[in-house]
Amino acid sequence: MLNEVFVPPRLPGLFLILASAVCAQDAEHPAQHAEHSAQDPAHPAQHTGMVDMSPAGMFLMNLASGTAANPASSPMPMAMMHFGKWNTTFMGAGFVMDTQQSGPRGGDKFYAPNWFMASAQHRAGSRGSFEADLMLSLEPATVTDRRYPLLFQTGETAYGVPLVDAQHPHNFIMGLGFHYTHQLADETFVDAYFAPVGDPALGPVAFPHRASAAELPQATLSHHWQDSTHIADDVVTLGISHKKIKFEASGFYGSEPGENRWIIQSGPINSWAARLWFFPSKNWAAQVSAGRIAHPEALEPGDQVRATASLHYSKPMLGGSWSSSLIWGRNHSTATHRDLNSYLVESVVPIRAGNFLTGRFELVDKDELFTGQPDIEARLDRSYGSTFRIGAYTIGYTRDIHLFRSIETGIGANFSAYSLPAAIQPYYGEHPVGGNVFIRFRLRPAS
Amino acid sequence: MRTICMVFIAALTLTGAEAPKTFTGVITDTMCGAKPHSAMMKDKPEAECVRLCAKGPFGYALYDGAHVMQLSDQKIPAKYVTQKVNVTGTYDEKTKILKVSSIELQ
Repeated sequence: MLNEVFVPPRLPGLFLILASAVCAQDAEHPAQHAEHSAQDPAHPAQHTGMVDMSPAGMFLMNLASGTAANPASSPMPMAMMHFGKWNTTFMGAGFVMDTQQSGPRGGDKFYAPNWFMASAQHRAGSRGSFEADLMLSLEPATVTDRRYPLLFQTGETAYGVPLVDAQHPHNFIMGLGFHYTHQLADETFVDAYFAPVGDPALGPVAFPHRASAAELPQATLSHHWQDSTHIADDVVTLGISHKKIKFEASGFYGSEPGENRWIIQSGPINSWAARLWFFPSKNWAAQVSAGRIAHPEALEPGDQVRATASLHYSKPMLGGSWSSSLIWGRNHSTATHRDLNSYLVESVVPIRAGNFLTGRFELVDKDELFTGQPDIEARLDRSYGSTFRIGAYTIGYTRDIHLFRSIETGIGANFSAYSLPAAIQPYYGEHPVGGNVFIRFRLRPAS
Repeated sequence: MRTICMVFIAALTLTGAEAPKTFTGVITDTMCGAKPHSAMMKDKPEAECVRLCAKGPFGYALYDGAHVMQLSDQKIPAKYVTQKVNVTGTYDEKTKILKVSSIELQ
């Protein structure tokens, strides 16, 4: 219901976000603006809020990532300004964090995940609206060594070697997309989306944009089972929505981003996906989706056939929103013919204004934990099998501290415990654990 | 002794709880706030603009001429969009949310 915004850390990221925050601040604090007239002669070029919107424009504004949407009542943390008849929104999130993990394969690191989004929207005729989105991240610089430690995480590569027990940084250009939405009838819209870098119609809202993951900076272990295509290349999506139902289909280039995180890569549209949404009320969203992803991993043969289903709930409360997600994702590898499942439950609840309790529980079938170690892999394959079901149980707490007028600053921590088969305990320890402490920055909600 | 304790607890409770007040204003939404709906949606009636805004991540609010107060109840205000009402409740300056006890058309 109320909106908040994210901001990145470390010097370049912090500068970027602070600049946007200052711009927003210069254009008046949203709450203060509400107390004045929209026509403020002291600020002729910038105004908070929106102008000349249409129902098609409102439809676009409720999207979270690509064409995916959180429940309509979810907090959408953003600063809004208009320049002439262009409506712009800005969001950003940044965390300066330290990770400590136990066990032979645990790692420690100080780093800074971050992302920043800007969009510009303009009415197109009486029933249409156009929007351009740009999403940036300075993680290629602020997550050094092309990874941060995350026990049992797999997916993508660093220095030509598959990442295991580590998460890759996001690309500098996380998203660059263009939407056109047209209102066909009172509650019927068609939507066309082209993105050189974007999010096709596959999976739930990706974790950086998901309301229930707002206070958990680290990636999910299920990322490459559920929402990893949120940074796909050459995405084309067509969708139609009527009342509470939305159907959409995409074509896109299936390969995961390469290791040069500063460029946009491109390729043929060789993958497809389709997704059906159901929005029973303002507080609920549900989706089922499926797709075939052509050769997603650079060092692995074959395609992936992915299926996902998810249910999301958001309830506005005094002091914030209680947001929760239940997600299932399955990958079928055409090379190994394995079906690997993942299950995720995630929630964040404001226990008081500015105090957030959060949690994430996952079960994921992993078959790449010993990639690059053929002897161990073969031995485990003979004695146990090739797939290991990993459980990750995370709880966390964030408390807002008031350092800046326009930026919500919070300090937080989360702790993860893991369950794992006895067969791999010699390599991870019996009870591996991990913890993160962080400072979080994001723009103060516009109200 | 028991009576004294009960009186003491009751006194503490009453001291801590803020008494509801009546706020008079117009039902709007937190997106447009105090700004004219005609700027936001020039070709739609004001009420439709408020309803469309409240459908998404924004909510119904009361504008009393000085402040835009988000309303804790999001169902009853839907009946009084753009109308002048009396809202009884307690306002939290920190969250800018008006916890609604009742809403009456003025």
